[in-house]
Amino acid sequence: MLGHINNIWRKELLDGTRDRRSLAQSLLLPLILGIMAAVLSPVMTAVITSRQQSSVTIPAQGIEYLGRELIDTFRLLDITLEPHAGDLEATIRSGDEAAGLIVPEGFSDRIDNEEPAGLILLTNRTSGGIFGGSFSVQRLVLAINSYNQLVSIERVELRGVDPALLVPVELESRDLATPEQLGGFFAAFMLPILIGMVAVLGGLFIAIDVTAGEKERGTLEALLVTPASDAAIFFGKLAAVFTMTAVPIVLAFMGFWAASNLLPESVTKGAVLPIGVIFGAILIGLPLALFISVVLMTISIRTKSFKAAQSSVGAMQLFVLIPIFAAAFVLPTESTAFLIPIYGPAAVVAKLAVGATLPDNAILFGIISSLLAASVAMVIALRLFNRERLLYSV
Amino acid sequence: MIEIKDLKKHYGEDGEIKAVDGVSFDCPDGQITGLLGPNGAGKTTTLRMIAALIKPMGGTVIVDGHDVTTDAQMVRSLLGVQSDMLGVYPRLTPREQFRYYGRFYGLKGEALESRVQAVIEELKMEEIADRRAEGFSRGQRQKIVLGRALVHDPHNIIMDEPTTGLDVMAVRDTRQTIRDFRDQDRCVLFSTHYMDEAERLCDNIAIIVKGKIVAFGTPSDLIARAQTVNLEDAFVALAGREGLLRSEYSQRGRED
Repeated sequence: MLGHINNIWRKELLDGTRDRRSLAQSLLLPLILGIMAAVLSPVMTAVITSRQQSSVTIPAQGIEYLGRELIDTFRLLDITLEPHAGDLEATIRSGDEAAGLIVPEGFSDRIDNEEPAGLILLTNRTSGGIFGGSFSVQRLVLAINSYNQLVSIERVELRGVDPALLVPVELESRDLATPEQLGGFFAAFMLPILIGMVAVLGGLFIAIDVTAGEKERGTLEALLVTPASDAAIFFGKLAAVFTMTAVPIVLAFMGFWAASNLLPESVTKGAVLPIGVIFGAILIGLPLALFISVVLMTISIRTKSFKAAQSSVGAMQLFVLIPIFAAAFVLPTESTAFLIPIYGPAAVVAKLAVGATLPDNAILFGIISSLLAASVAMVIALRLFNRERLLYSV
Repeated sequence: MIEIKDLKKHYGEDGEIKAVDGVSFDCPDGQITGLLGPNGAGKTTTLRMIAALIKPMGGTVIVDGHDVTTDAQMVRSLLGVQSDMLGVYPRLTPREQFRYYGRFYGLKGEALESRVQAVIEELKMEEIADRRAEGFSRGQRQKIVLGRALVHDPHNIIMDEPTTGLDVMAVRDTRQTIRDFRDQDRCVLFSTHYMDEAERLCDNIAIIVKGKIVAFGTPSDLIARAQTVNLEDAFVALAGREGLLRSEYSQRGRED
């Protein structure tokens, strides 16, 4: 049996790798995706950091009613108020600006008279996309809080009261994220998605080619009259599909790591993902690749033409990517969640990327979930992969 | 030698479609046995059961003493089967395809290479042996299909409509190859619906209609029994016009 499996595996790989289009899709595309993900991670970090640090210009009405001190506070935090003529609310609602400030008449006088004074902050958090409005709003809120504190201190000092009484709790915030963790900040989002996309794309062509393609070409019957058993034919073909799913995963992750290391320090700020994370992701990725390979084959076996198989497999891509996206956004807190097929392994990769402490057995659970799911899928596939069914199916 | 005994294959929920219904005949060594019948008569289903591709619902096939129902893998290793589909792997050369199929029968190393070379020479494929099969003509693809059935030098050869769609020269070559098999004392079973081909090549002919063997004998026996002057007329007389029509149309939708 092993001889037959080896024979089929070698032939399918030779056949598959001679098709330039499939080779590009299986090997080149995953490598490019890995490199792109590596480049995007520090770029996204840099974009967010620069937005947090760059000056903010906010349209405002009634600037003339602001006191000198508040204007100085804004300036200190690099906020420039820009006079706005016209309907400020309409401007913010339309999304043209992320935030606007309305200063009511007599604002400064009320502050001076120690009366409650209000400001109206208009925001539109959808403005500017994911790197948009929230930065302006956060900065403005910070400025107002600082100003409130400043004025309060002045007022109590005038009355001979210790200003420390105004601050019962003093919060000192320290960001202890290591450069590696910063490197993994976006990698935690990107690596699970990368693993899912590459696993599906890598084995897609060959999975269809060795099943539906064999039927469409009219070569299936010739293969079935050989002494190879149904199981040997199935496992030989699966070995080829798994190879073409696993190799792209390794390539994508190595590409990711290599590209991260080749980027200049000015871009990465020393935040490079450790090689251990890459090895961990590959360790988790290979059993997942096996599961996805079996599913791809199981779907393709049921169809009798390349085109029909492509349509059927399209739905399967969603089936893989939904739990992957879930893992990228919501990380599990319970160890048992790592046993959920696809989601569990993807969550392990996400946690590895940020250097988080993994719950006990998380890696093992991630691997077991894929192997169990692959075993169940194999039992189903083997039932479908029977000579008579294959000849007359669909 | 291939012995077919009371072979049955029925389809449908209640088995109402009797694709093969109690077929029995022998294919001795050193002889060409033809399986003759209209489309839908049960030729391909019979050949597929002999080749251990599908399981019989009743009866059995014995190939060189091995029962297809209990030892399918051994039976497959004793047969060389050329199907009616001319599918080849377009990205592989004929030599690579022969190697692939040879390995299934335990050939390897020098033995495999020399056998592959022998098939290439036997089928006069030297010029195309190392070219990828993409764009090959029907005749060239037919040679690959035949070559992969012969690569393990089988004693028993099954061919399903081997000359259908070929040009005149390719048909002549294929017919000569079939005669060569007989001269090499091999057992040859082939299906066809060309009467002249069956008359010229076959030592024995089994006429199958609606899944049953309606006549078996040498071409001259069949002609004499039907009291006709040629095999085509004998075939029509023995199969019965009504039977031929029912075979053609009643089983439409399922393969031969």
